Amino acid sequence: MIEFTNVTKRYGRKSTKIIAIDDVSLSVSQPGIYCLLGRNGAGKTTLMKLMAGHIAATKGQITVDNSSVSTSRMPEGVNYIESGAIQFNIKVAELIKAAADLQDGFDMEFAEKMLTMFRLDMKKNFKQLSFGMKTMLTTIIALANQSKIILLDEPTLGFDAIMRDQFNTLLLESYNTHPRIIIVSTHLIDEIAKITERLIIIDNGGILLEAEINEVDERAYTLSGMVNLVLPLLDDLNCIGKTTMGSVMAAHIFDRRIVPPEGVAVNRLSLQDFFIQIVGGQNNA
Amino acid sequence: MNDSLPVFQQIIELIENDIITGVYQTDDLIISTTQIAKIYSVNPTTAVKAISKMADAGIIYKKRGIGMCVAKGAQENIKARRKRIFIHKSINTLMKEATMLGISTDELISIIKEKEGEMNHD
Repeated sequence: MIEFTNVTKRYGRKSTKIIAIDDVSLSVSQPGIYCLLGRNGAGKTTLMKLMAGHIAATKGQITVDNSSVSTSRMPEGVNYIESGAIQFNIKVAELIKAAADLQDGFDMEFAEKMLTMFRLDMKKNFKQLSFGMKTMLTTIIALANQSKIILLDEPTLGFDAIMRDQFNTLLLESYNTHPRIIIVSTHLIDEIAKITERLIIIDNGGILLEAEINEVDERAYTLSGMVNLVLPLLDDLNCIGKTTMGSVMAAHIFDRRIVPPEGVAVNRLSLQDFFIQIVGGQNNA
Repeated sequence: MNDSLPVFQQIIELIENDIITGVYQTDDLIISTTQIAKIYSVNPTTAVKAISKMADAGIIYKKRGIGMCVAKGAQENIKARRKRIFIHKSINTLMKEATMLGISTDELISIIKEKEGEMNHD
């Protein structure tokens, strides 16, 4: 269980300081696949590094399983994986063996199954692997160990479409065999939507929204039709963005579903469009 | 998947269609949530939500250690509910459109009968 209480993280000296995380309180207690969404520079990586104790908070309290986290007290059960950050000069097979030797309860069966699935050549040297394959390998190693909390920072960066699809299958499979907290940050929203249970959207260092994926599926939609028909409906609905073209209007809603009057069409809002509306809307306000 | 309903409702509709058309009979085991997630490429939790809504509505019930099965009377219940919606929505839209195009109710009825004849020929 991860708990943030009024956490702030500032980088740099006073004159040039950047507030990366701004007074965030957050609690992640249930096992599940969580998706961390946010624009570039929103604070996703900082948030994950704080959870793992890789960096220290400027203010506030972070605990994992009720013990406090800092750079001097990195939580044991937390595994943070950055894409493309690691360099090794050994063979894939040796790396897997080393990981298995270092970690209790390393799931070799899972690791081998995944290595075959992704056609990772065990005889190759790690540094000869492509960027995507390196990430895939480090992620497989992370998922094969028994850490209670896995943080994956943009794991699908540099993956082709097929690899991304396989990767999502891998995550789901790993979660089904070892249910635990897995937090994934990504920009490919509609792809992760197929496997994630809960969304955490951050913007400008703060949590903008925390919601079940099913809640978004049910509550996010678009009403489109003539302005004079659509506009009155917005009075008691939470409208997260709208576009008008001539006499026609499309309004994006995040609220209960309504039965629209004639001439107004209801359409589902994809998670990606929902994200754009909710984050873009904030920035434009 | 069509684009107007939440995904879980679309899944419910698909399964209900199979119950109405008799693909699933009373006490038959229906598709599992894992299968739904795979086949329709949807989030497993969405599949679970669809199934639990159907269970809440009494359309399906849980057989311990086996899976979800079609409840007694499910077909009639779904049909009755869908019929109400059909009359309320589809027929209304049809008649309004017909009025707009200047088609009288009698004319509409004869068009439907003609269509029925054509369909039976196929």
